[in-house]
Amino acid sequence: MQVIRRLKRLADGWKRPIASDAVQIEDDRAFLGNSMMLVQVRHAAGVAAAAALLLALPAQAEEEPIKIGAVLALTGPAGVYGAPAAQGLRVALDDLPGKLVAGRPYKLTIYDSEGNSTKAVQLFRRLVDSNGVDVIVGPSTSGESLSVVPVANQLKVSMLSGGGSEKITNPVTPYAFALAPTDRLMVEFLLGVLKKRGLNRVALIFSMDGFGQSGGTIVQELAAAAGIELVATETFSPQDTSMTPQLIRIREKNPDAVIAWAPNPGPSILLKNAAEIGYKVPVFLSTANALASFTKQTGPAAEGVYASALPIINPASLPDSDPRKAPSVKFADAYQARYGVPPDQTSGLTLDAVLIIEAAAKAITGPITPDKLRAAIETVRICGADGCRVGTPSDHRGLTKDSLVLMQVQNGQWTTVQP
Amino acid sequence: MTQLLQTLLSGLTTGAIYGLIALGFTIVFNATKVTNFANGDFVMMGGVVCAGLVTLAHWPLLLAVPATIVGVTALGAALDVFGIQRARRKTVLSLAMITIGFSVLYRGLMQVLVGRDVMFAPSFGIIPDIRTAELYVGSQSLWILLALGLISGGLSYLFLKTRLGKAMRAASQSPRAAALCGIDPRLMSIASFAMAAAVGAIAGALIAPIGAAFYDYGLVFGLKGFAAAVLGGFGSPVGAVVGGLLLGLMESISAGYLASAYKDAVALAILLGLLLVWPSGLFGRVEARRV
Repeated sequence: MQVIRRLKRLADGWKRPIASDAVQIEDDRAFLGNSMMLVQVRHAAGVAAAAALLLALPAQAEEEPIKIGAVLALTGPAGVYGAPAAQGLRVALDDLPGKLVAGRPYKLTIYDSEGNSTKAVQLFRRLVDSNGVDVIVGPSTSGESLSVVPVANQLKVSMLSGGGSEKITNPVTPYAFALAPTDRLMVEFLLGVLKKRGLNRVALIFSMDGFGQSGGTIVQELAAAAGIELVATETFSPQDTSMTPQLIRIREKNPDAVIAWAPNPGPSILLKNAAEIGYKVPVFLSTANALASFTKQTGPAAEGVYASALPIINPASLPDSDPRKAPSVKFADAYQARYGVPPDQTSGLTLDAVLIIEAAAKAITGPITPDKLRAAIETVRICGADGCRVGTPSDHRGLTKDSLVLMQVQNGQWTTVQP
Repeated sequence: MTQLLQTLLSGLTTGAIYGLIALGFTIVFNATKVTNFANGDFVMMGGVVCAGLVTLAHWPLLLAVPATIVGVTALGAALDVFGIQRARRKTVLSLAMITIGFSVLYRGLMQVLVGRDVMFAPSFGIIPDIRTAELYVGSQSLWILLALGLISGGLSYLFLKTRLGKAMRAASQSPRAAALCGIDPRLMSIASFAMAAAVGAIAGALIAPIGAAFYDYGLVFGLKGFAAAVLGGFGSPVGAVVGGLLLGLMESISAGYLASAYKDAVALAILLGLLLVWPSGLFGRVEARRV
């Protein structure tokens, strides 16, 4: 029904003269591309502002909204990351006093990349060329983000990627920023946990995609220095339906623990296969799998699995002195109230995105431009869902290992445990 | 030793899935001489519809599986009725193009109807898991192997012994001569697509609990099944089963003993090598033509 309604609106849109209703046309044009999920205009007088914008009256410069774009994988295999991120973005923006970003109105445009790199690049271009955004939140995954980095630098609009691959911000490029802790941070954290628990002989399995390969390479690179012996290294394709042969090979080497580095649903299938062949071993996953949907998809096979995670899943457990607690708890309560589920890390990341944009916008006087915003983001300092961020021109992520906690699935729920 | 056995068992399950998909190719090819590139999407739809009915609509599995088979069979028959039958020029290429078009259509249909999320269906159950000291065969794997045995046996009987099967083969060899004998080639064509879709739906529903169901998985299923069918000799039901199992075993062994990163490449390289030795596949009949 919705499709028909949209088609009808599209037809109407074509009949209308183009300048009469800028917002409507924009919506319809986006639908033409079949990737538009929502265009939200949260502005006291959205249409008027858009019209004023078209005329670019200098007198109205103060009223100009901050245009925030987002390229998120709302659907598809990475939908578990993108869909909560879009919800988190809305909650975090609505949370702001007076629904204003640093005293300015805002306009949010979200496009669905479906987790597809090509699409993410196209939509990023569209946000810049057609929507004229000042800053872009996303893409959700590392693979997409790595494809978008050169485009962001070419178009000179900052991206706040949700990807954990360190290649996004290393080497540092002017317009590429990232929100999630890097895979290097997560690997360092996990290796530290393994060492502390005396699990010295470790097997590694990762997926042959951007996220898996990046993390897998770092584990191989850092293991020896952390005093961990890698006894087996296996891989699988993102669409594999069985990982039993790899697991058997790992079992033969009898490691103390297994590190599995892959986006969903790979680790789901892996854990199911391990349960099937009766192979019991502590499995450690990356932050990408510490999601509520993961335990639902994996079922009883997920019981007891560990993951390096961010405290946003359970921010109330943080000590009161922790500067992360106040904004995270407030966000978590608002999210829970609006969507009926607690936030996860990907929605938590968008809280940080909004805090960053807000802090950066505060530092700017006069009209906001993508370039001014970029310069401000580079030196922003905030405390949000993943620790306190100290941005510098040489670190576009600004996070440390302390932002991570160890979580374990207990009775079907992710629960914080002592590392 | 147990390691090898477990690896082989895992390969057999994967191979059985490939075999079921290859059977779909065989049925359609035997009745119409069309290579149905939408065959992988029959399997995809089987998985997506079944998982969707169970997880989203909360149907019991006992109801969801038959409903899936009926639904996908209807969609398969639609490919023939609205696609193949309406082709103005029935060349190999144009018919293959039509099936590719329907493959895209099916993918879009599933996106709109069921959604774009990865889903898992619950395991079928009933058959118990086999677990000895070192060896494990999952209940779902047994279901898959059982389905392959029953379906391939049934199809062999159908094509070799029954009037319907003979009529289908006759219609493919010479539609005109078959029509003169009172066989309706159109009916045979519809029947073959419906049967292939039904087999695909069963395969998809069987995989949904162990692999994942996702609207975009049809291409990979189709490719693997096609390779299996070619390996076994295109058009031979026995060949499809043997080819599928062999391909699954090759993949599993190369993942377990060679490099897991190159398992697809290894399997396909072996396939290429085998085809150089037996160009018509393991069980294919060599086509010779008098000139």
